[in-house]
Amino acid sequence: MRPTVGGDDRSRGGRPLNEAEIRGFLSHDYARVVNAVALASGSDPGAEDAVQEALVRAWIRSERGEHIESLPAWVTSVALNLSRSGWRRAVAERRASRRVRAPGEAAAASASTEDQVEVARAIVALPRREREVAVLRYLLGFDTKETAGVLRIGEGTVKSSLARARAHLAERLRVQDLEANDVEGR
Amino acid sequence: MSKVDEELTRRLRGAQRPVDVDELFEALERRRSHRERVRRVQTGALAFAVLASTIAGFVVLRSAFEVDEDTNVGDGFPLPANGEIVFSAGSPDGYVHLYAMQPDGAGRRRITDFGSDDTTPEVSPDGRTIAFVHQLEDATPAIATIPIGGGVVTWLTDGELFVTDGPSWSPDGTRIAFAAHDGESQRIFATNADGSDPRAITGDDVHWAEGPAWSPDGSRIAFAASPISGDEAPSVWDIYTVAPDGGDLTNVTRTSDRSHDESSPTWSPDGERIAFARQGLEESAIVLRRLSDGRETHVTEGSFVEGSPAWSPDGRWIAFDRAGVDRDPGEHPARQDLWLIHPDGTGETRLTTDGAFDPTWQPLPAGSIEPPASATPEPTASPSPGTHGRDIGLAFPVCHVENLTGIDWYGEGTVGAAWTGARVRPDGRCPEEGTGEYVVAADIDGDGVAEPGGMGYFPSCLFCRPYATSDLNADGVLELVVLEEASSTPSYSFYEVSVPTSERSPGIYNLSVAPPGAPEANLSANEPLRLVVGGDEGFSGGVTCEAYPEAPTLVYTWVFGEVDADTDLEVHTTRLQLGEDGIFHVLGSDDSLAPRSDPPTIPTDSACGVDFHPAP
Repeated sequence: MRPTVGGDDRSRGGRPLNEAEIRGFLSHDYARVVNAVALASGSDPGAEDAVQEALVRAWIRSERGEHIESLPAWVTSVALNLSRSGWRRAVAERRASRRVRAPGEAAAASASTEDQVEVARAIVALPRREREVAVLRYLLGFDTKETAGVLRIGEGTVKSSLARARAHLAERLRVQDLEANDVEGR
Repeated sequence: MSKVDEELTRRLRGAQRPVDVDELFEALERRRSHRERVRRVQTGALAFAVLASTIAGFVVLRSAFEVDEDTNVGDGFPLPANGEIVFSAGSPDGYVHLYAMQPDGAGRRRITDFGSDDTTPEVSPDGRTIAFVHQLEDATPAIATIPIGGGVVTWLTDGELFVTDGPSWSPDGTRIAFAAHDGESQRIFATNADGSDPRAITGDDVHWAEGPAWSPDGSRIAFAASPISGDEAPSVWDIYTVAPDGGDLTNVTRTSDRSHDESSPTWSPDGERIAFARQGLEESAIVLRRLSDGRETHVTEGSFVEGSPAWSPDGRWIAFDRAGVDRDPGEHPARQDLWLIHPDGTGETRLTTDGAFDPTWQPLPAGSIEPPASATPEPTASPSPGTHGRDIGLAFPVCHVENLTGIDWYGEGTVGAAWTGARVRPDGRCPEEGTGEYVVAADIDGDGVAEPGGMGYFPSCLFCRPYATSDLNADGVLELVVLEEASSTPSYSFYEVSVPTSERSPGIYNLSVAPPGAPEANLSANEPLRLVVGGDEGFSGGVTCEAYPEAPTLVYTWVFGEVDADTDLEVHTTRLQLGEDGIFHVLGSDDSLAPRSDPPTIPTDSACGVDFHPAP
């Protein structure tokens, strides 16, 4: 029996992530999170690298005693930050890639159907915050509170950004007809 | 969920890429092992860099001034001389750090070495301070400053603004412009050099504004932005200028050709020309544009992807980064390196070969031959302690600070100190007590500020404090005992101070348990020694000592029995001795059972010069 250090788990650190948990993330969440980061950042190779880097950081931090409540949320948050950082510092690379790929092509490259390609292009055309909020909601299924936590913004900002993203996407993807019959409201 | 939401969800989700879990897991393990190895090695580098940079800065300042005495041009007005080139580069630890080197590529030194990406530096007009984008790994990027010799980082922006692009100093050094996303749009902002009075300069007339550059006379700010909103793809970027109060927005490079993007403007020292990077379907080049008549000349030929031009203070050179020269197949993104070229397109010179970007120049105003600001400033109390943390000499403020003073680590009469505390959050606020990244730091040389080494990152710590010192291995140097006084199970952890070696900078380091440890007593090999004492949920423990001071031996005893059970009690007694190798060696461990009717006594008396008592 191991003597535990008292206090609640949040403030006292948690146990290290184990191999089964890492493999579980790889099996069930990895592809989804990579797709989400790719769409949010517009960079498919960069997204894969960012998610792997975030996962390694989560692993190391957990071994140092930090409690990670939700691995998918933590990895998504850090990977998005990493992708933003890369996006910021690689202006030349970004511009260069635009010479050979139209906007949305990079992210759309990971989409497998014509429908998904169209949605990916519509997502990439959104302003960055709307894009991130939309991806977290529609692709990863995060609710308003989770999205606010991952993006470190207020819940009100999440709601307003999602409303704008939703309107833009509905228009671009021609789903207004559904909206007209939407009895549940927003 | 509305039908629109359902349809968007349905269309966005779908077939996912196949994942080879075994292959991915192996790759992650390799990356993790590499990262840990690199972090251990690099912990020791910063102090030497700081010391070396202070000396090197002085030498460079002097030599540059001597060399450039003949560079006074214009109407008899002396231009600053060229100092070092400051830039960003990736590191094996996975982060991007700031570096500096002389304009001929010699004397390369590291300025930052934190768990952060530090990019787009710009040196203040007096040549002493670097403003840059500072992004801790899971935090909102911020504008920060650091002395050019290295040292304490000061955050200028908080989490409300998502900083996206680099700072630019006003010529009088009082304001700093930068690009940031405020939740609605990416705009150019400016703040006072101390972080106060941040104001948006651009409004909704332009989109995705980036790369601000203050003109030499302070009357304009150049930047890149798109005239087309993000809803209309593809966007294009032009070079604009605007007055610092946001008025008189002018599109400098507007052309009918929408196939070009322009970025990263930089002013000539006389303010008559702007250099910028232009990328298009057919070309990618550094371009000069004369503002008086719009005449453009190409500085580079455009065979590669070039960006981030930076005009030298003396006007003779433009530094820039160039990508793709040595590109390996499959490399992503293409590696960038630094180059120099004269504004007339001659003298092209490659400065780096191992990856670097975002160059900028250190200006050396006439008469500035003096060493840069001290790399180890005196600690200062924050204007709002508890909100912004304290500067104890580390690269970041520290919150919930506890200290132990009057420590003569080496018994030589030098009075030092030790601190515990939590690293301030990126938004400049303190984390809640017990959360965040805790540090243990020490002043070894008695200068009143913490040494840079060994503070590392430690698990969150609740009510931690430097508790006592004692020479636990009889080598004449004191060790530090840190007490974590949480709930009813306090614990002790142990640290040693280190003189500079080839592997370690001066600082304070955790003491671990030598293999094989004492697994039955839950003392794991190669893990920091942490002795849990007190009583909680059927657990009680204590520490005493033998053979002090000649051969101090810690005796750690703990007893455990499930609450409300009638099983015997587990009793473990482990003897540990701190070797000269700086590791606790397990001399022996006794594991036994005791009936609940006759529980063993837990020793709690003073030991090894430390009063190891359970906290109340």
